[in-house]
Amino acid sequence: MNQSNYSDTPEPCDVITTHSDKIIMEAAQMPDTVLRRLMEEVKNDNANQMYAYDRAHNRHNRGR
Amino acid sequence: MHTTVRTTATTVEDNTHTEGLDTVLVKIASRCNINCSYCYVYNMGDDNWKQLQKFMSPETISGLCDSLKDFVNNQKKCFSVVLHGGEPFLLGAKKLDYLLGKLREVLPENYPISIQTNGILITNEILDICSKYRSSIAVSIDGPEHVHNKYRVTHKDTGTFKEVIDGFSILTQHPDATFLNAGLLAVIDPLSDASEVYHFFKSLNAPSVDFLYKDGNHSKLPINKTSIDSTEYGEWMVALLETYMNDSQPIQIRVLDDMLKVLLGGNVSKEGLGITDFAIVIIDTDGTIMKNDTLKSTYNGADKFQKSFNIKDIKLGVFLKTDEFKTYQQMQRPTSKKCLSCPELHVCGGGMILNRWKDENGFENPSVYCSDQLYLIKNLRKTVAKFTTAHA
Repeated sequence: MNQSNYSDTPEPCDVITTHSDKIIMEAAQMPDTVLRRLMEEVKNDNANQMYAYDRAHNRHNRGR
Repeated sequence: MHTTVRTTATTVEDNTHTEGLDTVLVKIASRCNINCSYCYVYNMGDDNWKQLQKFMSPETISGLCDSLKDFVNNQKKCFSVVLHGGEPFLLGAKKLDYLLGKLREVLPENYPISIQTNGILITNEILDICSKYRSSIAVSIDGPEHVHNKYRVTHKDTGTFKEVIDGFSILTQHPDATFLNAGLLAVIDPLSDASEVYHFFKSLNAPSVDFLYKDGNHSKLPINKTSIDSTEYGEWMVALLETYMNDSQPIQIRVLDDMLKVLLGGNVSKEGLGITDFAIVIIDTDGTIMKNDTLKSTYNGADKFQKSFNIKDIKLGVFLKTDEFKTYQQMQRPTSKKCLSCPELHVCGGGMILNRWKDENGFENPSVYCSDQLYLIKNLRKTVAKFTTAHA
């Protein structure tokens, strides 16, 4: 079997730090509207498991 | 808030939110009032719909609701129910009221019920019923009239744009529109102008738009993709990305948001992207539990489990523990050598299973859209880097 780059150990996504050049910044400093909103969503998604039900079928858009 | 921006991933780890059922997608009508030429249900080789009754029977609805009630009591996490077809609103007001009433009897209000429709049969009576049972609506529109009418046509091959916009207008003018109007779903025509399509959706005040690649695989290339290595769809998405990022008051584009969120350290919200094991169960009109219905686009019967299960005979919780479901769920994870060694796998996830199909060797291939996705991800990274490096 091919070597997989999956791990079976779930980790909160914000502790994945296997990057060669990591950049850390504040959402409030982000000048771009889309990225600023998404950075806040990442924070909320990680903090609140209730959002898990937003995981949707590919042929449906219930929105956000 | 601090956000870790991924630039070069070397390993991939599972995301959170992987436990339990995410979505039950219910095919409440097996027929459609229109005949989109690219439709995976009717026009890509699968003919299971011919064997099915037109609408879900009260007996099947009862079996479905019994199973959902049992599952609500046994899974802490909420899950959603999506009504799909065919065209769900072919049920008409009376049957829809009955179905939604039964569903809401067993699903608390924080369990989303939503309906994917072509929009043509929307009436105020239908919307009142959806509002009463807190069921939101997503409409499929491909873009402005000349884009939409190329593929989204009637059984007489005439365009459906005007009828869809009429239905969508009723939706947006309903007193409960803020809740009911959930989002739009569009299939990409790479020959169209991405900026024009974006601004069209913005003119509709859409709360969210999602864009889909057309169905296809290595043996049956998607429409307007000239070769495995071509990047027509990726180039279209990059043009959309540029328009999106340059808009000071942007609408929300789900597929781009999902991919950007992975680069920002977050999770995807939709199957076909990222590294997540989505648990999505499809209930066909007769109650049969099916694999992902989009597999219909690969070969006739591809969405059937080898062993037949019916929601009237087996509880969802029991079904999710079967070897058949576990094996099917693992199919989401790509197995090709190229995917397993790809540094972008945590963003694209190997794409939708259906796009990996090849007649000679099944699903053990990268997505037919691999080149498009790599081109898009390269540009997404440039976009993120442009803002983060300048302002960190």
